[in-house]
Amino acid sequence: MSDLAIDLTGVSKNYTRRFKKPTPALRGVDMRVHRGEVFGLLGPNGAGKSTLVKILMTVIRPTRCRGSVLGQRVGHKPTLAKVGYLPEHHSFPGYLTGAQVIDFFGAMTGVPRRERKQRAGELLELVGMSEWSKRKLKSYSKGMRQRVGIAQALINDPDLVLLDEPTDGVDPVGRRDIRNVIERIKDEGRTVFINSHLLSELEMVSDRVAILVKGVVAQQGTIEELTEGQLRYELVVGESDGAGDLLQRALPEGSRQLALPEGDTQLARRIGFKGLLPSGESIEVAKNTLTIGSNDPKLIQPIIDRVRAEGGVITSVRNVRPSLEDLFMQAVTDPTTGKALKPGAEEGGKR
Amino acid sequence: MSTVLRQTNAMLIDAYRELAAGKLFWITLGLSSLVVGIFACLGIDEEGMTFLWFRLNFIPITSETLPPDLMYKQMFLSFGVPLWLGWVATILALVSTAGIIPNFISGGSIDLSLAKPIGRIRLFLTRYLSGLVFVALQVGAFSFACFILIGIRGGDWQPRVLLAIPIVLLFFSYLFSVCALLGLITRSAIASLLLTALFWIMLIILNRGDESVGALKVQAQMLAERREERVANAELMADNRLKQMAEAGEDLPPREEWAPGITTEQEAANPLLVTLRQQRDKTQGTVRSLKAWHHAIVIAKFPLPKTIETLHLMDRVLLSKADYEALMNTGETKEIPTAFGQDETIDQREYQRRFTEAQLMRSTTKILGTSIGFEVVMLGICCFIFARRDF
Repeated sequence: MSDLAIDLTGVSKNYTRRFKKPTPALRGVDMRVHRGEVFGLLGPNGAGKSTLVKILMTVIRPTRCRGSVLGQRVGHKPTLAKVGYLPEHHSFPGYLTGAQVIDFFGAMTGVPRRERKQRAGELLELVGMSEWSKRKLKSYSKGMRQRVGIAQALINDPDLVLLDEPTDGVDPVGRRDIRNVIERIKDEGRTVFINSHLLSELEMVSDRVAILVKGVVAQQGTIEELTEGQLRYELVVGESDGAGDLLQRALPEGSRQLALPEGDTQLARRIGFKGLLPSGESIEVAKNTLTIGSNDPKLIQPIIDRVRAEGGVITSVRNVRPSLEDLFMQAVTDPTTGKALKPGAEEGGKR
Repeated sequence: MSTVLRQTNAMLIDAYRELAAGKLFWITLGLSSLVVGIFACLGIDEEGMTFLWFRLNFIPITSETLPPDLMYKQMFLSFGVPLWLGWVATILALVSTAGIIPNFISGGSIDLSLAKPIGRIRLFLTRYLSGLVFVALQVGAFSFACFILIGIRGGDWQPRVLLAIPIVLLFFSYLFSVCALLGLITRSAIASLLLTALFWIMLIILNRGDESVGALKVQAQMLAERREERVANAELMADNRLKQMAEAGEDLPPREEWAPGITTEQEAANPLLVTLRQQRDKTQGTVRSLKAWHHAIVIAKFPLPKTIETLHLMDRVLLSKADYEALMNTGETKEIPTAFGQDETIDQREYQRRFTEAQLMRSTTKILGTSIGFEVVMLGICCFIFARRDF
């Protein structure tokens, strides 16, 4: 058995419309999801995240696709019996009760009746919906529907669970509950594939992430792998009018200032100084914070000494790892302009 | 239970739940009960028809001319199947089920179904079948109630009444296949309902055209026969006259003195023959013309579903030849005017007998074969679209 739950190479999808040029949604996605891990898929609007999930679930037919899900080719219907799925913007029939929804989708996945009955009770308990199990869905809030949706995705005891925006419309308590459910699913040895906009949520539960930008995977790996080489030191002094100048004066001799992108007054206002240390590491001064793009503690020592010699009060020195949001922003920022890329998978435009 | 059966079962149960959650299902069931209740209130005895304890003296039928079992069967066949099930219940069923396919393929709903281990074609066809649950339940309830009614009130426990279930279901499925295709293309319940209604109206116009032209053809044929008979009689009279003249040594006037239009000796002997022959030839021309029109309509109808003929299959199933004869002989026989002039009449019973015979002559295999063929084509197109579409 392969170690990979999802293994994709060169997945592409062009939406074709009569008499119109095909619009690309995916432009060759390569992705590996290991068994037993929680994998987060990120990306700006129109990056192709939902298209990718729909291709995996056979809702959409890919234009080109090589790869497998649970060891079988993508599109192999019987394999879906071992996959749980919660789509984004799902609409469960309002005339069914929570228990009936779970039972119906369990039957559609081929789960025997007795097993469905037993598991439905357990799952409703798991998502905190036992008391509502006999009420019709039309009386549920969005968050409650989401919880039932997660329960139905687990009715077939899946090896792989795909959750598309699982915390959409869920309150903070509900989000925590869903996080706990995901962790529990992971503890049971299942693979969880989450597509979400809530980066902080993903950061808390994901073992590995992929950032999809303009229909291709821009970055993929564990957060540690992705931030390797991006660790930095942050030195913060007490807030005062001259804090920025103090930090600039504390820089070692030979530090070079770099020009900020022309016309970006917002960036200029935020960053007072951007440059390089004599040894080549990046430095940035913004208000009362100095950031050095290095994980080497030796580089910060002379700066600390100078700040203190100048009478500055150091409030914190931290070794900082970029957050998932930082990674995401890096991936979706155009390096030439410093601005966020336009939505869509087409080169330079929305699809 | 295999996965296939489990999935099919789940989808059919879900369809029932969906329909039961709608008011129309219960309204239709209530109205069906009312129709059966009205049938049950009607009775017939030696003195005539009754409604509860009221005597319906204006209906000149007694149990001697129309036995109770035949009366209830006829009510079921004349009102229950074509009017109630074939019209009112079908309209309500179409309104109830027009949204089944558009709702099924709507975003957020279709994703979950397609993400299950079930092939697209089987998924679509099962969903299509689940749309027939409404009609199956409604027709099942109505037919079973009528079976009990005919048994208790008419004394004839006729299980063939229950054949209305597959027959009406088949009739509805022709329309529903069109509705499903339109729903799949337009993704709108209202659009598919309206376009299906238009299609149905087109079928009704064709069927009415078929029936009307067929009826005119029978009338014209009867009229032509009658006129042929008159011509034969007039020719006989002319021959007798010529014979009498020959025996008496008389001669016809010279040809030059014959009235305009008279071309033969027979006509000279009986000038009425000219008019009669002209009338006969005209009627025969009308018959030929009506035959051609009828043939054109039949050809136009050939690839389309035979909705009315399918419902009329119930008549063949439920009525014996003796029943037909009994129904024909109900009431007084009379001459009725034809569509070709008030002064020209034909025998009503003979006309009805010939018209019914012409309808019964239509092959069941052809009626069902072409209709089911149409449905298969509709579903084939649906499956083709559904299997290839990205949702």
